[in-house]
Amino acid sequence: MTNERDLLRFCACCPAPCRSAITIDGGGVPETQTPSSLALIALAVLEGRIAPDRQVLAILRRTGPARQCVAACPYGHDIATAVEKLVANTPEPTRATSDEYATGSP
Amino acid sequence: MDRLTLKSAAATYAKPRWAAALEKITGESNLFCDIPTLWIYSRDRSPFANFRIRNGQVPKTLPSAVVRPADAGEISEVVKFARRHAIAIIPYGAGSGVLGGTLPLANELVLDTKRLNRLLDINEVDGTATVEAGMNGAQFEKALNERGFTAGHFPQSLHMSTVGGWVACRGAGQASTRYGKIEDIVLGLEVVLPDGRLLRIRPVSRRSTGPSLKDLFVGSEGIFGIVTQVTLRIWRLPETRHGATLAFPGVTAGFDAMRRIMQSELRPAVLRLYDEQETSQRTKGIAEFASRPVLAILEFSGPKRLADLERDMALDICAASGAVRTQNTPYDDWQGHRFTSSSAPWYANGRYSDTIEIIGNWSALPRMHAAMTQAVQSISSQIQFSAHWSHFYPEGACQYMTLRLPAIAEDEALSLLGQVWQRVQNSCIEMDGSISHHHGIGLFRNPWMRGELGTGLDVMREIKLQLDPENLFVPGKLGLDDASEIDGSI
Repeated sequence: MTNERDLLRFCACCPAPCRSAITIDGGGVPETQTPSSLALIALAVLEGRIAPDRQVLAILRRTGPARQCVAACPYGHDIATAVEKLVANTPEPTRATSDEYATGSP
Repeated sequence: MDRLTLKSAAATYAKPRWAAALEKITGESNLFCDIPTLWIYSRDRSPFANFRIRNGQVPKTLPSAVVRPADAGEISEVVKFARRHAIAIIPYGAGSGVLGGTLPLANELVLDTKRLNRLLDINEVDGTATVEAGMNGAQFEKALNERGFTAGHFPQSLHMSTVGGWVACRGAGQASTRYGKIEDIVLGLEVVLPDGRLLRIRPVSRRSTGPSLKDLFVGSEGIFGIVTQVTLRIWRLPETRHGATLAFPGVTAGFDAMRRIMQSELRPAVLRLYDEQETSQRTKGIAEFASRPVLAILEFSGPKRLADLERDMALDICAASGAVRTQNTPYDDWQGHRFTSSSAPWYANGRYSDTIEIIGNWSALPRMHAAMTQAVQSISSQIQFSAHWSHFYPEGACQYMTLRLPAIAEDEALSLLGQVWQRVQNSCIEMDGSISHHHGIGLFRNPWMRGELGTGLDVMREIKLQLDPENLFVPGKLGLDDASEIDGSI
């Protein structure tokens, strides 16, 4: 991959055949912790589509399952490391988006 | 068509008033109302969802929330709660569907089944395995292998799908020609009905107790109930496995050989026949294909004596149709890539791809292939179209078509793909085929369900009305809503 965005975009579009490497201890993980989902959220941050608030960074910090997938990636990519680098280079935000949601029927 | 961006969806999202009450059923950590999570669950692996999400859009709408119950009891409580509050629900396994079946259309509540992920029992005497619906397919198969068994169900999505998902969409594995589709493998089920009751269908080989209730749920894509547990037939791991690669002089000769193999009571594990377009992608540098431009891959497995005999008989049939054996590279390459997807590079580079699988009988398949190829080529020279046949029966086979487009404007690409779907699905119905072999209906095949089922669609709607009078389970899918007959295509 030529750059970080290309890598994230590729993984975001991949249906995650690596996900069976995620151990089932603890009852499975939410969809957000698969490499493909982490890549999609990270890409959205890089492209300014979503603010890197505390909530988003908390999701991006859960790279444990994605790290389990590295050896199983058919394309040899390491999304866990790419996401960890992005988080490390992102200033700590002051805003926690979830606190700002209205309460009502969507 | 209005497009919902992630930013605009986030700006208008309101956390549901009922969220706090729902948390009491599953616990706070298993209910999600944050925008990133809702966005992730707003997609499936349909091309349409990929086209939208790669540009930071929401395919249709965000879900109102995502809930992850621990077991069938919690699912039942969530369903009862949802019914009291008129909340529509979409069950979600691993989201590997390609027809929009799990896409929220009106802020439905998404119910993720992946916490139900235990292999409950292997009965070595009966040859059955009972598994919770949210278990990953490859993890299930691995656990069986460790005990010397296999389920014989190997969809391309094996590693990225759940057992419950296989059942819900009436899926097929790559060895379906030997082991059957999932409807042939499932013996029993446990389902949460739309009113929260638990229905258990005991696992036995066959019964004569009225119409098959099991088959009401296998392929229902969640409209009649949420599958929570499945009992499947399992087999001893095969003693031997033979792969063979053949070059045929043409598609017609290939059809003839495949038909005669299937009608000779042979049970190959894998038969795959490729048209000239797909053959050329897989056989570069192999001399035999210069004069025989159609590739076939065969695999026989099981007890060695039986597999040897079946292989020899099948190869005799192929030779009588003018085929010759070649080096086994195409078979080995297929083995090496059978569980990965070729779509990611296309989507990532702004290009487009899609697949359509149908089934036809032998007497119609040559006409189907010719008519569909011609119809697609007449739409636009930009469309790359190819086909292969990969699930065979004594009566016919599944025709699996791949469409590819370069990086053109999205509206133009969607228009071209929409025209292809129209031509192919209409043509399939006209030739008495079925519009889907194993991908299911979801959202995007809504427009053809009347043509597929005729009066049968009214019967399905009446059953739905009885089981789910408020239409809270997966609304807008499987052609069941009046509007969905004309409003489902991309």
